[in-house]
Amino acid sequence: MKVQLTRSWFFNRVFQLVILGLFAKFLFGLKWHLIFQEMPSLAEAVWLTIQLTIISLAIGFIIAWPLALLRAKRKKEWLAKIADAYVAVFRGTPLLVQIFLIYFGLGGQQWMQESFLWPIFRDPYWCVIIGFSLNSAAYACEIFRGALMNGGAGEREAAQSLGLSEFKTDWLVWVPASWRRALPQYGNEMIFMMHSTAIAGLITMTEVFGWAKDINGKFYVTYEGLIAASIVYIVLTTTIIQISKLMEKHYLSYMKR
Amino acid sequence: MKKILLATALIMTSTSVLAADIKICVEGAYPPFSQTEADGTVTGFDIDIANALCDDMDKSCEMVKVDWDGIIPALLEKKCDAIIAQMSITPERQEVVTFSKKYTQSANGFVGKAGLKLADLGSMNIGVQRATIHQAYAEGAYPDANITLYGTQDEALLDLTSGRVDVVTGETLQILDGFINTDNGEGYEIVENADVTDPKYHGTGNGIAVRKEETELADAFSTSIKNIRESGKYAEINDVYFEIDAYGKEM
Repeated sequence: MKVQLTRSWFFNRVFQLVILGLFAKFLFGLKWHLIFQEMPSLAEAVWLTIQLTIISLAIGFIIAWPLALLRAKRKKEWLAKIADAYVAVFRGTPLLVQIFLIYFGLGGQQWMQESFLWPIFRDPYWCVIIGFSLNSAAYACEIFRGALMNGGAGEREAAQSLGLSEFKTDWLVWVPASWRRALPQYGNEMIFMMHSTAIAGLITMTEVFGWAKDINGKFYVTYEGLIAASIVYIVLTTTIIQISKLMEKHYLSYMKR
Repeated sequence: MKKILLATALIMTSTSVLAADIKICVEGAYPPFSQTEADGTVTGFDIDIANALCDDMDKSCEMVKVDWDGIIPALLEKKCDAIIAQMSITPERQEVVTFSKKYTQSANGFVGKAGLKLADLGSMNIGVQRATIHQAYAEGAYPDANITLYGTQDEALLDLTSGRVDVVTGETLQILDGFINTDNGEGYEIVENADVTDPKYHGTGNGIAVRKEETELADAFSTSIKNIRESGKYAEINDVYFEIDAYGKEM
């Protein structure tokens, strides 16, 4: 293909070069030695982010299934209504607001400070675990409910014709089959949850975002901490994507012949 | 492509045309020096001083509210031209910014439940605002304490009342007028004898920070500080907020 050396072609190339040059100048002008010097504290921060993500997802997962079953079956309408309300509240409000309500709101109450629950609510670690878990449960519940309702009838009929009790039908047939259907969407929820842990940095925790703020504050810089944090988040996200691919491969292997 | 360039150029020029002569970064979460009102405006000692200085320099000024831990970066990124936010003049900061002469002098203090002793501090949970001289001092003087960093002093004091931290350290004037003398501060007092002033951590007074190369602006602020001290304007503002002179010893 012949390149047309028109004026606009030339203009475009020059413009692109200038942009690239400015970007490179910006990146090389940053004080990266600060980040290398702070590697040990970054490692701790990454570990905290991983902990928060895994624990919250695990608790959320456990809460989400019974709720999803309640809402998919609607056998006991009043219980299903409560589950509906729970999901509506936690999906309807920003996670940031939920965490602030738990940490500053609940934690600021006199009765809470005098109650036996205070050792838990005193600690920002447990405040965010509670907030993140409840939030993740609501989103996961919605994903699982969709998967349950999407093709439940045949599976349940087949299971019941084999003489399985209702409980066994639900938990040994319906839920595992729906889990497979829910996997691709649940992978997204895992990524969202991991990104959401940045909120913990706003209530004094030194996870990856909190670490970035500490570094920026300590050395009076704008970008270094945040760019390092972004790189960590990208690596973590890529890891989660790989994990969810492995999970899909494992759980959906029966689909391949 | 030309349109994009043209649009960029237009945006750049239009913002610089509309802006005030000097944009001043203030914190808005550090009563009574700087606080945010219900309608979003910022008020306080720092804001009154800023306006008095601008009047003296015959310039129009605009307050820009920026979180404390991003306030120096905001200055360097040209989101504002000066910081008036009780910022202590320290050697570390002087590596990145230029300061005017001091306009206030702060003493460092610890606040906790009444009856707390200096000897108790070493093993306590200490709350402190991130990126302050008080953080540096707490970390340096109490290496065994468990130190929690906060974005704003208000949040640190909030967690003091909830009991998540045992003591909060910061500027004594701020703690007195922004906390102890308010309803929230009942039952709390300044820990006796903990108000050490160590030049290594605490610097030489609070100055107005400008970008490193803009020494002329820093000098202009220094002159105006001197002018409002002499004209009595400073004392007028000071008396609204404090019983003692926030300026500290004469230079």
